[in-house]
Order: sequence, then structure tokens, then C-alpha cells
Amino acid sequence: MIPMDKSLVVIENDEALLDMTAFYFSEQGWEVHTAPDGHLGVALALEKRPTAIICDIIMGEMHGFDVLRALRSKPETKNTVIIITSAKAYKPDIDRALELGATAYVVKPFRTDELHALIERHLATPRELEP
Amino acid sequence: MRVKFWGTRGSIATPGAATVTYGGNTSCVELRCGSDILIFDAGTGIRPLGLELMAEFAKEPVTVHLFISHTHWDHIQGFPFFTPAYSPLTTLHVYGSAGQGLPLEKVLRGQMQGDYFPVALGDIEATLHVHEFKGKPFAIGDATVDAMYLNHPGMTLGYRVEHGGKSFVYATDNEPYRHTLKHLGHRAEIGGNFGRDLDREFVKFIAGADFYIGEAQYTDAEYPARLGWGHSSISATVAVAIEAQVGTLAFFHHDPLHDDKAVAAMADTAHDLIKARGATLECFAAREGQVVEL
Repeated sequence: MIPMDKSLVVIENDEALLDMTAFYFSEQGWEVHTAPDGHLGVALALEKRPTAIICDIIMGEMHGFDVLRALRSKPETKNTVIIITSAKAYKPDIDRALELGATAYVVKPFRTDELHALIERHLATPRELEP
Repeated sequence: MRVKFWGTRGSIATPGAATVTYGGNTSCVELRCGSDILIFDAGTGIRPLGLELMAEFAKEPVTVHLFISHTHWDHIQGFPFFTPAYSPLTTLHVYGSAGQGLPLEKVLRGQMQGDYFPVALGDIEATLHVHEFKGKPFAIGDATVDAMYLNHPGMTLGYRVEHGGKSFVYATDNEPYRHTLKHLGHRAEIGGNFGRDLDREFVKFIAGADFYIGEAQYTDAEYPARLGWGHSSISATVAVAIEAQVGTLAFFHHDPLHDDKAVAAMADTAHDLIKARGATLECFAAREGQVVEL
């Protein structure tokens, strides 16, 4: 059995995309936890304290910006790598997500291997701790 | 259901001789479902609506349900001038999405800070309830309201109301995903139809509506230069309405650069497109003050 030293929480309301992302990262040796909406995603991320989080924006129950705000306000996830993924490709949305503390913003549809490489790059250069 | 257009303009109020037919006030639509009063957006058109409600209800209590599509200026700028908000006899329910980083109530409060307006949101005398969309349909009297996030910068909602066997959709400030994502689709595992699949979700949302208020801010000639601004061309909106088999499309959010002649020409374009497709869709350019009974 491959030891899993990296864990991921995926928050995404598109079931097919959630399954595909989870499958890919599991194959790469990640421990993957999934949540179909923002509320469950925040609870899951605070419980699991994953290495990285992938989060959608447009979700009915709690949208991704609110998830980001909630996660960045908690010490457990304040410095976790959080990648926002969305089909919204507008610059104001991208800028706002980064202002709110997203590590990066990836416009859908994306290649999962490129998303993985992006996460690995950010893990290799951790965020500076804020004062 | 009775629909009245109080503001049909997009982006910024555009009064003057060139816009007297279609109107210069920004987005505001009133929908009566029996005795329930629903308002969509609080652009500058909400000011005269407020005055009419004050005259209609005089000294009687009134409950108003205000649905905000999103909090860009042209959709909220009339709110501080909505007179019923200053009456203790008014109960005002405001619905919308949480903002990007701020709750809806704080966004509304922000535009009434002292630097922008002399009366604070907390000083209005109506009983105010702010409701953020939680992803599920809900009831107002005998009506059911559902909402869907649209493709526009910021968190933007479209609304669908069912009442008395009729259906009404208000979905403005929306751009087809397939246009904004066209250059990305071919290189991802989930394929080149990704944007089109997302657009299909919108078609499902408005499917079969008796009355669809959609936006068509741009002509087809203007749209390519405004790709990625979060709005639709007339042919895109007509195509969506035909695909969704809606009864009537009222297009609005008229561009401030479009005078009455330009808006009328867009209606002609729409009618030509419908005829060419052999569709039965009814379509018109919404006029300020126009009333439609469903």
C-alpha cells in the first residue's frame, strides 16, 4: 500500500467533474475527500485539514467566495493551498478570488494533470505566513 | 400575473429625447402574483414604482419582495430612493446572492454609507429582511421562486416564478459560456462542449416559460468587441429563447449607446431571426412603462 502523505478536499457541485478529479488525484497517490456543496466542504476541510483544497465558485448552497472567506478566517486552513476553479472567466472574479486569499484561480475546463502540477508547484513554494 | 417595466436600460440611466420610447431608467421590473408584489432589481426605475406604491397603499401596510439579480450599480442604484422603504408600514424582503466576500446586507449597506448617501440602511423605517439564495426554490404566497447563477462578473442570479399556471423568468446580465470558454474547451478532458453544456443548464432553467425577460445589450456586430463583458447579443438571446421554447421574449437591458431607433432595429433583427428559424416565439423590445398581462 502506498503511504498517503498528501490529502485533498474537492468542493464541487458537478458530480461528473467531482468524480473525475477525485479519481485522478487518487491515482496519483493522494488521499481525496469530496463535498458536493460549500457548507459540507468547509466542514470537511476543517475536519481533515488537507494539504490542498480545490473549490468551485457557482454552487447553490454556499458559493465559492463564501467558502474561501470562511476557510481563510480559520487557523486550520488559513495557509492551506486553495485552488479556485470556475467556468467564470471574468477578470474581476479572478482578481477578487486572489484578493480573498485563493492560492490560484483556474478557469474550467482544465486539464487535471495541469491542475495537479499547479498544486505541486504551490506546495513546493509555501505561502508566507501572514503576521 | 401582471408585469410592468419600470426600468429597461443597462449600465447607466440614459434619459433624453433619444430614449423616450424605450426608456432611460435602469433595470426594474414589477410582477404582481395575485396580491403579492415582487420587484426584480432596484435600478433607477424603482423610484417611480415606489411613488406609485405609496399612492396605491396610502396609509395601509404593504409587503414588498425585492429580488436583486446582482449588486452592480445599475441594479441597485435606485434603492435609496425607494420611498416605501422609509415607511414604517412597509415590510421589505430583499433576496439575492451573497456578494464576493461580503454578505448581501453589507453590500447594500455599503452604497448607503455617509460618503455616498445621507441616510443609512439602518435608518430606513421599513421592517427589512435580507435573504441570501441557498440553492433551493421557495414560496411567496401562492408563487414559487427558483434561482440560478448566471455568467456575469460577480455573483449574479436569474429568477423563475411560477404562479397560477403561468411562468415568468427574469434573467439579465448573462453571457453564453460557450463564447467566453470557446478557446479552452478543446484542450481539456471534459471536452469542447463544456461551455455548450453549461449553456444548456440555462436553457433548462427557462424552458417553457410563458414570459422570459432576457437581456440583449449588444447587436451581433457589436458583440465581438465586447466578448467577456458578461452580456449577450440579440441573436444569442433569441436563439436561447427558441431552444427553450418560451412563449414570449422581452429583451431589455438596452445599451446606453442605443437610441430608440437602434433598439427598434434590434427588434427587427430578432423578428427576422425568428422568421428564418420558422419559430413561433413572440418577441419585443421592452419599453419603460409597458404592462403585460399573462
